[in-house]
Amino acid sequence: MLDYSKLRFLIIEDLAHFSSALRSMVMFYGVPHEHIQVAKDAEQALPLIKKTRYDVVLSDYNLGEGRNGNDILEEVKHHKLLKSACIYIMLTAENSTDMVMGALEYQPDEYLTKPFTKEVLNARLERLIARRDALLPIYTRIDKGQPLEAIKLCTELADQHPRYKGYLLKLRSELLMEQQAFDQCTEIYRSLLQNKFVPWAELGLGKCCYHRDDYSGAEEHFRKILNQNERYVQAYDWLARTQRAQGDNEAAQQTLVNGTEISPRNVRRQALLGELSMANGDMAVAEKAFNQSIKVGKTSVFRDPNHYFNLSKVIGERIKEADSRTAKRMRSKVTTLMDEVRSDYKRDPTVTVQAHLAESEFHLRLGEAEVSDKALQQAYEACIKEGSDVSNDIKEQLISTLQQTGKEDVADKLVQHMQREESIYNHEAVELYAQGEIGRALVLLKKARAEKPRSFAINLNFAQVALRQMKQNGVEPRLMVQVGQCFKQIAVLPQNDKRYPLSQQLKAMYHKMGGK
Amino acid sequence: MSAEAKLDFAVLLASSVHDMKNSIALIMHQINQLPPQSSDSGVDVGHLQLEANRLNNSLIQLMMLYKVENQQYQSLPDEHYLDEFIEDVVLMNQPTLEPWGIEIEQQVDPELCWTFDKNLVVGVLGNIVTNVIRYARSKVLIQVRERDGNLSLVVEDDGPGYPEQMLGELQKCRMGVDFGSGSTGFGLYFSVLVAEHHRQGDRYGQVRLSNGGQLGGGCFELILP
Repeated sequence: MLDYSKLRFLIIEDLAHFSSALRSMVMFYGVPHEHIQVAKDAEQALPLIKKTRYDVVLSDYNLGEGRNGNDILEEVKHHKLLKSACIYIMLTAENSTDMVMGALEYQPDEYLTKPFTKEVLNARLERLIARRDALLPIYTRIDKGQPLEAIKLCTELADQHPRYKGYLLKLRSELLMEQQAFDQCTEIYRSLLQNKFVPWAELGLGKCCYHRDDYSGAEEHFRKILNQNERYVQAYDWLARTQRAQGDNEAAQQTLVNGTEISPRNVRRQALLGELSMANGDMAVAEKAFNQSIKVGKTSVFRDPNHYFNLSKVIGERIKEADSRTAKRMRSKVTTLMDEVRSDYKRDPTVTVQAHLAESEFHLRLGEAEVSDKALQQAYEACIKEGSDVSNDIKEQLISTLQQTGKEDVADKLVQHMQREESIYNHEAVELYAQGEIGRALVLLKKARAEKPRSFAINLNFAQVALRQMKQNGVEPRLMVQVGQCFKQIAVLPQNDKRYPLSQQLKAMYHKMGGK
Repeated sequence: MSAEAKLDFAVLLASSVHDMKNSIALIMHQINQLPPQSSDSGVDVGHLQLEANRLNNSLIQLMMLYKVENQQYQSLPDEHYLDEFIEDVVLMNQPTLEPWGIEIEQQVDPELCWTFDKNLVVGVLGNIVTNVIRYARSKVLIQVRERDGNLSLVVEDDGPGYPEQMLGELQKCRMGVDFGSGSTGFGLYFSVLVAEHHRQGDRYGQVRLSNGGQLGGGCFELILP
């Protein structure tokens, strides 16, 4: 008999009577009640998962309105929120594995179809926990970031536990794939495919070909899967990637159209279809795809604000051929979309600025200069207000848009603003420098420069620390180039600035060391 | 009926099956809370369990049948150890068999491992085992072994056996619904469909019915390549 008294369980189930039934089952096995937690949806489950190291998660697939069980699993695996040894069991109402398999990258350890008795669940748990205990050394290595040791253990433990041979072979191939050990992966897949058709192994072979730029080989494997099982959706995704890599965007688009017909509920698949059809100029398909990626993405870890911005671009293209009534509808759609993305990502000021920029571009295309300018002004104001939290790329993009539309004065103001920016790295670097830790200070300043490339304070400090280091350790050509870039950024420092004398001093030092 | 009307029916079917299954899950949970012998209340728990289980199996099969026939079923062949697999089948069906005084026995080679679609085969065996209750006297035997390079799963009972005209290999095209006798042949039809769904190269699965075996009653055999 398995000792359940130390195990920690999380139950994710939206219906109260089911979750209490599950809870009483788990307690019957001997799990103390304080080791069982219950969540009714993703919002409750994710914080619990982040806090507690569960041994077992029992999650219903269907969780009502919001995110479903797979969305949670994706988020958990994508962000590695659970330890590798955690057992994840997905409970499904129908035999619903067919609606999810082959469509997903991440899979639970087991699917269990409802209804089931406590004996059935117990048998499942005992087997899975026995496997976990036997293979624990592997999981520990994975979590410690020692994949090579984990891979070695897969082979060793397979000899000791012949029952887990198949499972270990798959695990080993996954770990090897992460290490990009394509030769060894290929060998495993080939040996598996010798006697029978195993879709995931065939997919693996195709992926190996793809990563080695053998696109025709990859295509052959993906087509082989689809010939055997036209609903194996991952094969469409990979076939499309292969076709795109070969430059055949139109074939790739068609492949993804087929894939999304079978499994529309996948954010990244829809977004890729959107990007491909956008590149192909097929704006009708692109519009539909981005609409879907946004709709499905609402509850997914793979949601991405760029889907909104792409959709606004696509609508901008389509609106030119639309009649006046449709155009009116499209225009308000873009407004709604941009409001939506700003509110969905209200903690990310970069998105706010991007949304104003997208609106500005949209209206500019329609020849509505006034509305466009208003949006640009809002983008500028958001940049000033949120200051250092707006990503640098977007600020640069805004500056060049402002310059192109003849608003040099606003662009200059933004540049000046950026020149005044500070960074937390800068403060830490100053402290380290004061303690004589020059090398470490320089590392931090490199980060600070990447973050705030126009900041006077950072460029000045970088130049000072770098020159000091080179004075001690000798001239480094690459560092000299970077110092030169700093001086370009601070060239516009006004003469009445109190840092001006220091900048001149440093410049002289730089020239003395051979800088131009 | 127009094509459009059929499509609507399919969607309706799918969503109502989902609903019905949730209800059944609840009913089954409630039934399992009842004491096994509640003679004073007059409730026949065993019968309730059997019927709920049958309802549940039928719904799953109806749904899968629909998907398989419409090429919507995503086949999931994977490697399974047969002793674990049969243990699951027995555990799933034991509560239904026990109240009828029917014992279920398993004979499975502990090293045997095979690649097949678990969900489909669970459905087939569950249905056959539940139906056997109506014919078996006291015993059901599930026997699994490798034979001639195929996997053979046999469900035997100690009842009167299958009617003469049903014996031999079952063919999908020869099976029909006989409303007169009350037997829809649904479970058998489903099992043939599942058998055909399993293929390796040019070999297909089969279903055979015979009488005799170790227990002297009906023998249902599912053969998978």
